[in-house]
Amino acid sequence: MNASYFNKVNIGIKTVIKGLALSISYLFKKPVTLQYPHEKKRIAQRYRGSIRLKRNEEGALKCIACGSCEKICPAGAIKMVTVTPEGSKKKQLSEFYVDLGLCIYCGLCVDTCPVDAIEHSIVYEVAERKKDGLILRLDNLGEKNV
Amino acid sequence: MDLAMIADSIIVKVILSIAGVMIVFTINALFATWLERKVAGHIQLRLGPMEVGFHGVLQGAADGLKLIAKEIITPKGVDKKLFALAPYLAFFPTLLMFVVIPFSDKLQVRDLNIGLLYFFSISCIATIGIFMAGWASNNKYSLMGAVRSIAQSIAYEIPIILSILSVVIITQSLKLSEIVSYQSKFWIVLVQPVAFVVYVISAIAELNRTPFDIPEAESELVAGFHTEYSGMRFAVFFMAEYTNIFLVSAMATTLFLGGWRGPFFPPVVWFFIKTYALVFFIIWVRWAFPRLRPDQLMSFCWKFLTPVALLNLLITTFFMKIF
Repeated sequence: MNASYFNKVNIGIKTVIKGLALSISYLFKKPVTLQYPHEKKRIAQRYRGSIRLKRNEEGALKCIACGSCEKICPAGAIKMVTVTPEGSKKKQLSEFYVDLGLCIYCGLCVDTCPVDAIEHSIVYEVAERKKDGLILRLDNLGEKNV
Repeated sequence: MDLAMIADSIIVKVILSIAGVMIVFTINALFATWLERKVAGHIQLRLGPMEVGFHGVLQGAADGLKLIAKEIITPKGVDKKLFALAPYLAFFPTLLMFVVIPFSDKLQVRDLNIGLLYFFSISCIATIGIFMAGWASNNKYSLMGAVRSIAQSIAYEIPIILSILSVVIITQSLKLSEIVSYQSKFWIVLVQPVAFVVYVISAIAELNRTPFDIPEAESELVAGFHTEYSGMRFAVFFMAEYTNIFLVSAMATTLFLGGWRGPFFPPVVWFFIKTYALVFFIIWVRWAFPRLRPDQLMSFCWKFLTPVALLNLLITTFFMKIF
Protein backbone atom coordinates (compact mmCIF):
# COMPACT_ATOMS: atom_id res chain seq x y z
CA MET A 1 0.00 0.00 0.00
CA ASN A 2 2.17 2.85 -1.18
CA ALA A 3 1.68 5.89 -3.37
CA SER A 4 2.29 4.03 -6.60
CA TYR A 5 -0.55 1.61 -5.74
CA PHE A 6 -3.08 4.43 -5.43
CA ASN A 7 -1.59 6.12 -8.44
CA LYS A 8 -2.18 2.98 -10.47
CA VAL A 9 -5.74 2.73 -9.20
CA ASN A 10 -6.32 6.36 -10.15
CA ILE A 11 -4.95 5.83 -13.67
CA GLY A 12 -7.01 2.66 -13.99
CA ILE A 13 -10.29 4.37 -13.10
CA LYS A 14 -9.55 7.24 -15.49
CA THR A 15 -8.76 4.85 -18.34
CA VAL A 16 -11.92 2.83 -17.75
CA ILE A 17 -14.10 5.93 -17.91
CA LYS A 18 -12.26 7.18 -21.01
CA GLY A 19 -12.68 3.85 -22.77
CA LEU A 20 -16.37 3.65 -21.96
CA ALA A 21 -16.96 7.21 -23.13
CA LEU A 22 -15.14 6.62 -26.40
CA SER A 23 -17.00 3.43 -27.26
CA ILE A 24 -20.42 4.90 -26.40
CA SER A 25 -19.65 7.91 -28.60
CA TYR A 26 -19.15 5.52 -31.53
CA LEU A 27 -22.53 3.94 -30.81
CA PHE A 28 -24.25 7.12 -31.94
CA LYS A 29 -22.14 7.78 -35.01
CA LYS A 30 -23.43 6.92 -38.45
CA PRO A 31 -22.40 3.38 -39.49
CA VAL A 32 -20.19 3.14 -42.53
CA THR A 33 -21.64 -0.17 -43.71
CA LEU A 34 -23.01 -0.27 -47.25
CA GLN A 35 -25.97 -2.68 -47.39
CA TYR A 36 -24.64 -4.00 -50.69
CA PRO A 37 -27.40 -5.88 -52.49
CA HIS A 38 -29.95 -3.28 -51.37
CA GLU A 39 -27.91 -0.16 -51.95
CA LYS A 40 -25.19 0.12 -54.54
CA LYS A 41 -22.01 2.07 -54.45
CA ARG A 42 -21.75 5.06 -56.78
CA ILE A 43 -19.14 4.29 -59.41
CA ALA A 44 -16.79 6.87 -60.89
CA GLN A 45 -17.49 7.61 -64.55
CA ARG A 46 -14.00 6.55 -65.59
CA TYR A 47 -14.34 3.16 -63.89
CA ARG A 48 -13.16 0.33 -66.14
CA GLY A 49 -16.19 -1.95 -66.12
CA SER A 50 -17.16 -4.46 -68.78
CA ILE A 51 -16.67 -3.63 -72.46
CA ARG A 52 -19.39 -2.34 -74.75
CA LEU A 53 -19.63 -1.06 -78.31
CA LYS A 54 -20.72 2.49 -79.00
CA ARG A 55 -23.40 3.47 -81.48
CA ASN A 56 -23.70 6.65 -83.55
CA GLU A 57 -26.70 8.97 -83.75
CA GLU A 58 -28.52 6.74 -86.23
CA GLY A 59 -28.16 3.80 -83.92
CA ALA A 60 -25.66 1.95 -86.05
CA LEU A 61 -22.46 0.55 -84.57
CA LYS A 62 -19.52 2.88 -84.93
CA CYS A 63 -17.19 -0.10 -85.31
CA ILE A 64 -15.37 -0.31 -88.65
CA ALA A 65 -14.28 -3.92 -88.03
CA CYS A 66 -10.58 -3.10 -88.30
CA GLY A 67 -9.66 -5.72 -85.70
CA SER A 68 -7.24 -3.52 -83.73
CA CYS A 69 -8.85 -4.38 -80.42
CA GLU A 70 -8.73 -8.08 -81.18
CA LYS A 71 -5.03 -7.82 -81.99
CA ILE A 72 -4.02 -5.70 -79.01
CA CYS A 73 -6.01 -7.60 -76.37
CA PRO A 74 -3.31 -9.14 -74.12
CA ALA A 75 -5.70 -11.74 -72.72
CA GLY A 76 -7.22 -12.72 -76.03
CA ALA A 77 -10.67 -11.93 -74.72
CA ILE A 78 -12.01 -10.30 -77.89
CA LYS A 79 -12.99 -12.34 -80.96
CA MET A 80 -14.32 -10.71 -84.08
CA VAL A 81 -15.91 -12.15 -87.24
CA THR A 82 -16.17 -9.87 -90.23
CA VAL A 83 -17.91 -10.09 -93.57
CA THR A 84 -17.40 -8.07 -96.73
CA PRO A 85 -20.72 -7.59 -98.51
CA GLU A 86 -20.70 -8.01 -102.30
CA GLY A 87 -20.08 -4.86 -104.23
CA SER A 88 -18.61 -3.15 -101.18
CA LYS A 89 -15.01 -2.71 -100.18
CA LYS A 90 -15.73 -2.06 -96.50
CA LYS A 91 -15.67 -4.88 -94.02
CA GLN A 92 -18.61 -5.21 -91.66
CA LEU A 93 -18.91 -6.68 -88.23
CA SER A 94 -20.99 -9.84 -88.14
CA GLU A 95 -19.97 -11.36 -84.79
CA PHE A 96 -18.23 -9.82 -81.79
CA TYR A 97 -17.38 -11.72 -78.60
CA VAL A 98 -15.92 -10.45 -75.36
CA ASP A 99 -15.10 -13.23 -72.89
CA LEU A 100 -15.31 -11.56 -69.46
CA GLY A 101 -13.69 -14.62 -67.94
CA LEU A 102 -10.54 -13.71 -69.84
CA CYS A 103 -10.83 -9.92 -69.89
CA ILE A 104 -8.40 -8.19 -67.54
CA TYR A 105 -10.10 -4.80 -67.83
CA CYS A 106 -6.85 -3.18 -68.96
CA GLY A 107 -8.48 -0.75 -71.36
CA LEU A 108 -6.02 -1.26 -74.24
CA CYS A 109 -8.88 -1.97 -76.69
CA VAL A 110 -10.51 1.32 -75.76
CA ASP A 111 -7.23 3.22 -76.19
CA THR A 112 -6.37 1.65 -79.50
CA CYS A 113 -9.72 1.98 -81.28
CA PRO A 114 -9.22 4.41 -84.21
CA VAL A 115 -12.87 5.49 -84.37
CA ASP A 116 -13.68 5.50 -80.65
CA ALA A 117 -16.24 2.73 -81.09
CA ILE A 118 -15.54 0.72 -77.95
CA GLU A 119 -15.69 1.84 -74.34
CA HIS A 120 -15.82 0.72 -70.73
CA SER A 121 -19.18 0.73 -69.01
CA ILE A 122 -19.45 1.20 -65.23
CA VAL A 123 -20.98 -2.26 -64.77
CA TYR A 124 -19.12 -4.24 -62.13
CA GLU A 125 -21.63 -6.97 -61.29
CA VAL A 126 -20.48 -9.45 -63.93
CA ALA A 127 -20.78 -12.69 -61.95
CA GLU A 128 -22.64 -15.46 -63.75
CA ARG A 129 -23.97 -18.90 -62.86
CA LYS A 130 -22.73 -20.46 -66.10
CA LYS A 131 -19.45 -19.97 -67.91
CA ASP A 132 -21.40 -19.27 -71.08
CA GLY A 133 -22.96 -16.21 -69.50
CA LEU A 134 -19.57 -14.56 -69.25
CA ILE A 135 -19.29 -14.28 -73.01
CA LEU A 136 -20.76 -11.04 -74.32
CA ARG A 137 -22.09 -11.15 -77.89
CA LEU A 138 -23.28 -8.51 -80.27
CA ASP A 139 -26.90 -9.04 -79.26
CA ASN A 140 -26.33 -8.68 -75.51
CA LEU A 141 -23.35 -6.35 -75.59
CA GLY A 142 -25.57 -3.32 -75.39
CA GLU A 143 -28.34 -4.61 -73.15
CA LYS A 144 -26.32 -6.25 -70.41
CA ASN A 145 -24.00 -3.32 -70.00
CA VAL A 146 -26.43 -0.65 -68.91
CA MET B 1 -63.41 -28.09 -8.60
CA ASP B 2 -63.91 -24.38 -9.17
CA LEU B 3 -61.43 -22.08 -10.83
CA ALA B 4 -59.94 -20.57 -7.69
CA MET B 5 -59.08 -23.98 -6.33
CA ILE B 6 -57.46 -24.99 -9.62
CA ALA B 7 -55.39 -21.84 -9.67
CA ASP B 8 -54.40 -22.45 -6.07
CA SER B 9 -53.33 -26.04 -6.46
CA ILE B 10 -49.63 -26.64 -6.25
CA ILE B 11 -49.33 -28.52 -9.55
CA VAL B 12 -50.89 -25.67 -11.52
CA LYS B 13 -48.56 -23.23 -9.79
CA VAL B 14 -45.53 -25.33 -10.64
CA ILE B 15 -46.56 -25.68 -14.28
CA LEU B 16 -47.31 -21.98 -14.60
CA SER B 17 -43.99 -21.10 -12.99
CA ILE B 18 -42.03 -23.38 -15.30
CA ALA B 19 -43.87 -21.98 -18.32
CA GLY B 20 -43.21 -18.41 -17.17
CA VAL B 21 -39.54 -19.04 -16.54
CA MET B 22 -39.15 -20.74 -19.92
CA ILE B 23 -40.82 -17.81 -21.67
CA VAL B 24 -38.58 -15.23 -19.98
CA PHE B 25 -35.56 -17.42 -20.65
CA THR B 26 -36.31 -17.89 -24.35
CA ILE B 27 -37.18 -14.28 -25.05
CA ASN B 28 -34.12 -13.11 -23.17
CA ALA B 29 -31.82 -15.48 -25.04
CA LEU B 30 -33.15 -14.19 -28.37
CA PHE B 31 -33.22 -10.54 -27.36
CA ALA B 32 -29.86 -10.46 -25.58
CA THR B 33 -28.01 -12.05 -28.49
CA TRP B 34 -29.65 -9.59 -30.86
CA LEU B 35 -28.80 -6.67 -28.56
CA GLU B 36 -25.23 -7.85 -28.22
CA ARG B 37 -24.72 -8.05 -31.98
CA LYS B 38 -26.45 -4.73 -32.59
CA VAL B 39 -24.47 -2.86 -29.93
CA ALA B 40 -21.26 -4.52 -31.07
CA GLY B 41 -21.98 -3.52 -34.63
CA HIS B 42 -22.82 0.08 -33.92
CA ILE B 43 -19.88 0.61 -31.58
CA GLN B 44 -17.66 -0.58 -34.43
CA LEU B 45 -19.54 1.64 -36.93
CA ARG B 46 -21.20 -1.40 -38.50
CA LEU B 47 -24.91 -2.19 -38.60
CA GLY B 48 -25.06 -5.68 -37.12
CA PRO B 49 -27.71 -8.13 -38.34
CA MET B 50 -30.11 -6.47 -40.78
CA GLU B 51 -31.59 -9.20 -42.96
CA VAL B 52 -33.86 -11.46 -40.88
CA GLY B 53 -36.86 -9.46 -39.73
CA PHE B 54 -36.93 -5.74 -38.93
CA HIS B 55 -33.30 -4.73 -38.31
CA GLY B 56 -32.47 -8.39 -37.79
CA VAL B 57 -34.64 -9.03 -34.71
CA LEU B 58 -35.30 -12.59 -35.82
CA GLN B 59 -31.62 -13.35 -36.39
CA GLY B 60 -31.43 -15.21 -33.06
CA ALA B 61 -34.36 -17.43 -34.02
CA ALA B 62 -32.77 -18.18 -37.39
CA ASP B 63 -29.45 -19.03 -35.75
CA GLY B 64 -31.20 -21.23 -33.19
CA LEU B 65 -33.03 -23.09 -35.94
CA LYS B 66 -29.77 -23.68 -37.75
CA LEU B 67 -28.10 -25.02 -34.58
CA ILE B 68 -31.03 -27.35 -33.84
CA ALA B 69 -30.82 -28.74 -37.37
CA LYS B 70 -27.10 -29.48 -37.03
CA GLU B 71 -25.80 -32.96 -36.35
CA ILE B 72 -24.67 -33.58 -32.77
CA ILE B 73 -21.02 -34.51 -33.10
CA THR B 74 -19.18 -36.39 -30.36
CA PRO B 75 -15.47 -36.22 -31.14
CA LYS B 76 -13.17 -39.23 -30.85
CA GLY B 77 -11.51 -39.71 -27.48
CA VAL B 78 -13.94 -37.71 -25.35
CA ASP B 79 -15.55 -39.02 -22.18
CA LYS B 80 -18.93 -39.54 -23.81
CA LYS B 81 -21.17 -39.42 -20.74
CA LEU B 82 -19.56 -36.36 -19.19
CA PHE B 83 -19.32 -34.69 -22.58
CA ALA B 84 -23.06 -35.07 -23.13
CA LEU B 85 -23.96 -34.11 -19.57
CA ALA B 86 -21.81 -31.00 -19.20
CA PRO B 87 -23.87 -28.50 -21.24
CA TYR B 88 -26.99 -29.31 -19.27
CA LEU B 89 -25.19 -29.07 -15.96
CA ALA B 90 -24.02 -25.62 -16.98
CA PHE B 91 -27.48 -24.70 -18.17
CA PHE B 92 -29.98 -25.98 -15.58
CA PRO B 93 -28.69 -23.87 -12.66
CA THR B 94 -29.58 -20.80 -14.71
CA LEU B 95 -33.20 -21.97 -14.84
CA LEU B 96 -33.16 -22.71 -11.11
CA MET B 97 -31.82 -19.24 -10.37
CA PHE B 98 -34.99 -17.74 -11.84
CA VAL B 99 -36.91 -19.16 -8.89
CA VAL B 100 -36.09 -16.36 -6.45
CA ILE B 101 -36.01 -13.38 -8.83
CA PRO B 102 -38.79 -10.93 -7.88
CA PHE B 103 -40.10 -9.68 -11.24
CA SER B 104 -42.76 -7.67 -9.45
CA ASP B 105 -44.46 -7.58 -6.04
CA LYS B 106 -46.50 -10.68 -6.87
CA LEU B 107 -44.56 -12.21 -9.75
CA GLN B 108 -42.02 -14.40 -8.02
CA VAL B 109 -41.86 -18.17 -8.19
CA ARG B 110 -40.84 -18.73 -4.57
CA ASP B 111 -40.03 -16.03 -2.04
CA LEU B 112 -37.47 -18.05 -0.09
CA ASN B 113 -36.25 -16.40 3.10
CA ILE B 114 -32.69 -17.34 2.12
CA GLY B 115 -33.27 -16.21 -1.47
CA LEU B 116 -29.95 -14.42 -1.83
CA LEU B 117 -27.95 -17.35 -0.48
CA TYR B 118 -29.90 -19.74 -2.72
CA PHE B 119 -29.19 -17.63 -5.80
CA PHE B 120 -25.45 -17.50 -5.29
CA SER B 121 -25.11 -21.14 -4.24
CA ILE B 122 -26.97 -22.37 -7.30
CA SER B 123 -24.89 -20.14 -9.55
CA CYS B 124 -21.77 -22.05 -8.40
CA ILE B 125 -23.07 -25.34 -9.82
CA ALA B 126 -22.67 -24.02 -13.36
CA THR B 127 -18.91 -23.91 -12.80
CA ILE B 128 -18.93 -27.70 -12.37
CA GLY B 129 -20.58 -28.01 -15.78
CA ILE B 130 -17.90 -25.82 -17.31
CA PHE B 131 -15.11 -27.84 -15.73
CA MET B 132 -16.81 -31.08 -16.78
CA ALA B 133 -16.95 -29.83 -20.36
CA GLY B 134 -13.27 -28.91 -20.32
CA TRP B 135 -12.20 -32.19 -18.74
CA ALA B 136 -14.39 -34.48 -20.88
CA SER B 137 -13.38 -32.83 -24.15
CA ASN B 138 -9.89 -34.41 -23.99
CA ASN B 139 -8.49 -31.25 -25.52
CA LYS B 140 -5.76 -29.06 -24.10
CA TYR B 141 -7.50 -25.82 -24.99
CA SER B 142 -10.74 -26.94 -23.38
CA LEU B 143 -8.96 -28.06 -20.23
CA MET B 144 -6.95 -24.86 -20.01
CA GLY B 145 -10.12 -22.81 -20.43
CA ALA B 146 -11.91 -24.82 -17.78
CA VAL B 147 -9.03 -24.47 -15.31
CA ARG B 148 -8.91 -20.74 -15.86
CA SER B 149 -12.67 -20.54 -15.47
CA ILE B 150 -12.52 -22.28 -12.09
CA ALA B 151 -9.68 -20.09 -10.85
CA GLN B 152 -11.53 -16.98 -11.92
CA SER B 153 -14.85 -18.08 -10.45
CA ILE B 154 -13.31 -18.84 -7.06
CA ALA B 155 -11.42 -15.55 -7.02
CA TYR B 156 -14.33 -13.34 -8.00
CA GLU B 157 -16.87 -15.11 -5.83
CA ILE B 158 -15.27 -13.43 -2.83
CA PRO B 159 -15.72 -9.75 -3.77
CA ILE B 160 -19.23 -10.54 -5.05
CA ILE B 161 -20.27 -12.09 -1.74
CA LEU B 162 -18.58 -9.31 0.25
CA SER B 163 -20.36 -6.64 -1.77
CA ILE B 164 -23.79 -8.24 -1.35
CA LEU B 165 -23.07 -8.76 2.34
CA SER B 166 -23.01 -4.98 2.79
CA VAL B 167 -26.48 -4.87 1.28
CA VAL B 168 -27.62 -7.67 3.57
CA ILE B 169 -26.25 -5.83 6.60
CA ILE B 170 -28.21 -2.70 5.67
CA THR B 171 -31.47 -4.48 4.90
CA GLN B 172 -31.09 -7.12 7.64
CA SER B 173 -32.55 -9.77 5.35
CA LEU B 174 -31.66 -12.44 2.82
CA LYS B 175 -35.22 -12.45 1.53
CA LEU B 176 -35.30 -10.69 -1.82
CA SER B 177 -38.83 -9.31 -1.44
CA GLU B 178 -37.78 -7.67 1.83
CA ILE B 179 -34.68 -6.21 0.22
CA VAL B 180 -36.89 -4.66 -2.46
CA SER B 181 -39.41 -3.34 0.04
CA TYR B 182 -36.55 -1.79 2.03
CA GLN B 183 -35.82 0.30 -1.07
CA SER B 184 -39.26 1.97 -1.12
CA LYS B 185 -37.73 5.37 -0.23
CA PHE B 186 -34.26 5.21 -1.78
CA TRP B 187 -32.20 2.83 -3.86
CA ILE B 188 -29.42 0.99 -2.06
CA VAL B 189 -26.98 2.06 -4.77
CA LEU B 190 -27.16 5.58 -3.28
CA VAL B 191 -25.76 4.42 0.06
CA GLN B 192 -23.64 1.58 -1.32
CA PRO B 193 -22.09 2.86 -4.58
CA VAL B 194 -18.81 1.06 -3.91
CA ALA B 195 -20.55 -2.26 -3.33
CA PHE B 196 -22.49 -1.75 -6.57
CA VAL B 197 -19.35 -1.09 -8.61
CA VAL B 198 -17.56 -4.06 -7.04
CA TYR B 199 -20.61 -6.23 -7.71
CA VAL B 200 -20.83 -5.26 -11.38
CA ILE B 201 -17.11 -5.75 -12.01
CA SER B 202 -17.06 -9.13 -10.28
CA ALA B 203 -20.26 -10.14 -12.04
CA ILE B 204 -18.68 -9.45 -15.43
CA ALA B 205 -15.74 -11.60 -14.33
CA GLU B 206 -18.08 -14.35 -13.13
CA LEU B 207 -19.78 -14.31 -16.51
CA ASN B 208 -16.43 -14.91 -18.22
CA ARG B 209 -16.98 -11.89 -20.41
CA THR B 210 -14.50 -9.43 -21.83
CA PRO B 211 -12.35 -7.90 -20.34
CA PHE B 212 -12.29 -10.96 -18.07
CA ASP B 213 -12.86 -13.59 -20.77
CA ILE B 214 -9.58 -15.47 -20.34
CA PRO B 215 -11.41 -18.84 -20.05
CA GLU B 216 -12.55 -18.54 -23.64
CA ALA B 217 -9.87 -16.27 -25.03
CA GLU B 218 -10.26 -16.88 -28.76
CA SER B 219 -6.75 -15.88 -29.71
CA GLU B 220 -5.07 -18.31 -27.34
CA LEU B 221 -7.61 -21.03 -26.44
CA VAL B 222 -9.76 -21.27 -29.60
CA ALA B 223 -13.01 -21.11 -27.59
CA GLY B 224 -12.01 -22.40 -24.18
CA PHE B 225 -14.17 -25.07 -22.60
CA HIS B 226 -16.64 -25.30 -25.49
CA THR B 227 -14.06 -25.74 -28.25
CA GLU B 228 -15.23 -29.30 -29.01
CA TYR B 229 -18.94 -28.57 -28.82
CA SER B 230 -21.14 -27.96 -31.83
CA GLY B 231 -24.80 -27.80 -32.75
CA MET B 232 -27.37 -27.78 -29.99
CA ARG B 233 -24.87 -28.59 -27.23
CA PHE B 234 -22.97 -25.44 -28.08
CA ALA B 235 -26.25 -23.55 -28.24
CA VAL B 236 -27.05 -24.71 -24.71
CA PHE B 237 -23.76 -23.25 -23.43
CA PHE B 238 -24.46 -20.11 -25.36
CA MET B 239 -27.97 -19.72 -23.96
CA ALA B 240 -26.65 -20.36 -20.45
CA GLU B 241 -24.19 -17.53 -20.94
CA TYR B 242 -26.82 -15.05 -22.03
CA THR B 243 -29.25 -16.17 -19.34
CA ASN B 244 -26.51 -15.62 -16.79
CA ILE B 245 -26.03 -12.07 -18.01
CA PHE B 246 -29.73 -11.49 -17.50
CA LEU B 247 -29.75 -13.11 -14.07
CA VAL B 248 -26.74 -11.20 -12.81
CA SER B 249 -28.32 -7.95 -14.00
CA ALA B 250 -31.66 -8.93 -12.47
CA MET B 251 -29.94 -9.57 -9.15
CA ALA B 252 -28.13 -6.23 -9.33
CA THR B 253 -31.46 -4.56 -10.06
CA THR B 254 -33.05 -6.23 -7.06
CA LEU B 255 -30.20 -5.54 -4.66
CA PHE B 256 -29.09 -2.07 -5.69
CA LEU B 257 -31.55 -0.41 -8.07
CA GLY B 258 -34.80 -0.77 -6.19
CA GLY B 259 -36.02 -3.93 -7.92
CA TRP B 260 -39.42 -3.55 -9.54
CA ARG B 261 -40.12 -0.19 -7.92
CA GLY B 262 -40.72 2.84 -10.12
CA PRO B 263 -43.37 5.38 -11.08
CA PHE B 264 -45.94 5.32 -13.95
CA PHE B 265 -45.18 1.92 -15.47
CA PRO B 266 -46.24 -1.40 -13.97
CA PRO B 267 -43.60 -3.06 -11.75
CA VAL B 268 -42.66 -5.74 -14.31
CA VAL B 269 -41.86 -3.10 -16.91
CA TRP B 270 -39.62 -1.24 -14.48
CA PHE B 271 -37.87 -4.45 -13.58
CA PHE B 272 -37.07 -5.24 -17.20
CA ILE B 273 -36.04 -1.65 -18.00
CA LYS B 274 -33.50 -1.64 -15.18
CA THR B 275 -32.29 -5.15 -15.93
CA TYR B 276 -31.76 -4.51 -19.61
CA ALA B 277 -30.04 -1.22 -18.87
CA LEU B 278 -27.50 -3.28 -16.94
CA VAL B 279 -27.36 -5.94 -19.67
CA PHE B 280 -26.61 -3.12 -22.10
CA PHE B 281 -23.86 -1.87 -19.81
CA ILE B 282 -22.26 -5.32 -19.65
CA ILE B 283 -22.35 -5.56 -23.46
CA TRP B 284 -20.97 -2.04 -23.75
CA VAL B 285 -18.03 -2.95 -21.48
CA ARG B 286 -17.27 -5.95 -23.68
CA TRP B 287 -16.73 -3.77 -26.74
CA ALA B 288 -14.79 -1.08 -24.89
CA PHE B 289 -11.90 -2.99 -23.33
CA PRO B 290 -9.26 -5.51 -24.35
CA ARG B 291 -8.75 -8.79 -22.52
CA LEU B 292 -6.64 -8.94 -19.36
CA ARG B 293 -3.78 -11.35 -18.81
CA PRO B 294 -4.52 -14.11 -16.26
CA ASP B 295 -2.04 -12.66 -13.75
CA GLN B 296 -3.50 -9.17 -14.14
CA LEU B 297 -6.94 -10.65 -13.65
CA MET B 298 -5.93 -12.36 -10.43
CA SER B 299 -4.00 -9.43 -9.01
CA PHE B 300 -6.89 -7.10 -9.82
CA CYS B 301 -9.20 -9.32 -7.82
CA TRP B 302 -6.96 -10.05 -4.84
CA LYS B 303 -5.11 -6.75 -4.59
CA PHE B 304 -7.90 -4.35 -5.43
CA LEU B 305 -11.47 -5.66 -5.51
CA THR B 306 -11.34 -7.85 -2.42
CA PRO B 307 -9.71 -5.22 -0.15
CA VAL B 308 -12.12 -2.56 -1.39
CA ALA B 309 -15.13 -4.81 -0.83
CA LEU B 310 -13.84 -5.77 2.61
CA LEU B 311 -13.21 -2.15 3.57
CA ASN B 312 -16.66 -1.21 2.33
CA LEU B 313 -18.17 -4.00 4.41
CA LEU B 314 -16.28 -2.82 7.51
CA ILE B 315 -17.41 0.78 7.07
CA THR B 316 -21.00 -0.34 6.48
CA THR B 317 -20.96 -2.44 9.62
CA PHE B 318 -19.48 0.43 11.59
CA PHE B 319 -22.16 2.88 10.48
CA MET B 320 -24.95 0.37 11.01
CA LYS B 321 -23.72 -0.15 14.57
CA ILE B 322 -23.61 3.58 15.30
CA PHE B 323 -26.93 4.62 13.74
